[in-house]
Amino acid sequence: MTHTHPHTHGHGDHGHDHDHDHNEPHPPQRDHDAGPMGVYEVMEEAVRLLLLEKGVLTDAEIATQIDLMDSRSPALGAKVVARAWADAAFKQRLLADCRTALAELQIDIGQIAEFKVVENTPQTHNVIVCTLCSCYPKLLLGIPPAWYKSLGYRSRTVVDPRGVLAEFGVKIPKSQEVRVHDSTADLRYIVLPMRPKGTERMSEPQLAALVSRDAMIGTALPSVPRKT
Amino acid sequence: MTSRTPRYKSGDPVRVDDRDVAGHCRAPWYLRGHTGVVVEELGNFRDPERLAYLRPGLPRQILYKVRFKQTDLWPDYVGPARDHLEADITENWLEPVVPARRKANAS
Repeated sequence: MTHTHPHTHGHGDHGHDHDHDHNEPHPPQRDHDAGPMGVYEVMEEAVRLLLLEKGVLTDAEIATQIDLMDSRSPALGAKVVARAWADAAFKQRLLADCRTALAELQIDIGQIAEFKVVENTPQTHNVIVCTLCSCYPKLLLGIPPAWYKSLGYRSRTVVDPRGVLAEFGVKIPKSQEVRVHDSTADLRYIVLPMRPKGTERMSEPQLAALVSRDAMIGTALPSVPRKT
Repeated sequence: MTSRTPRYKSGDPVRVDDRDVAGHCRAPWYLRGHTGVVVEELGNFRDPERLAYLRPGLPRQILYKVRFKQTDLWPDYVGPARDHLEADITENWLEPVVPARRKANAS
């Protein structure tokens, strides 16, 4: 993978002279051009421009962070799950010390939060929510779905998790505990689903293809391979 | 960094304080005043209630994973008694629960 950023190449002769707007290496563009800016868009732009003006951040740093976020997707989390399914020793390391285990796969989860993997078993089904805001393991799963941030999901998952799961098509038998994890602090949670039966001969990439984003939030189960 | 030893250990019953706080805090309303059990000590982190106001977040707070019975949290909970909820709560929001002394003639 290359990290070359073509937009940073145009200003080499001019150095970093921030007095000239036309020399900014990567002026951010608005995502939408329909209608007037909302209050939060205005606030975001005002704060961002202040941070740039005061030299706290550079355009290039903001662009790099956006690229980092965009580079992460549920496929990364699925790869981790597949490795855990295929390698019992890795799974134990992952459950005990997520940061170190992910580093084995060259996955850097950054310094913003710690990560924790919770394992589904025949006795326990785990589901993740953040009632206070919308904490989410972005560096493993990418940008969260809108429903994860909705008031409905955030409030109802703690009160009626079985009802919410049923709406996702997940019926948990009463003999299995439902365990809700409200990520209220510095840990980001990801669910390690149970490996489906009939997958014993699958390769890790084949296993990863069974693992959806929602399965790692706990609102879905891994898809079962079709009989051939 | 703090070298304070954790006040609680896995298995300890704890109650979430139900004090009122003006401003940012990370102890959800629905858990305040409720009793759970510490299931894990998660390390120490900068105090979010101070970080939110551009303070250094010191002293760092020891964070615990606390497990609550859903049927304790919600009187009309529809699921089975085996269902739980876990949340990560800083030590300054927890108080010890002294188990009620059992009556001598209790069976």
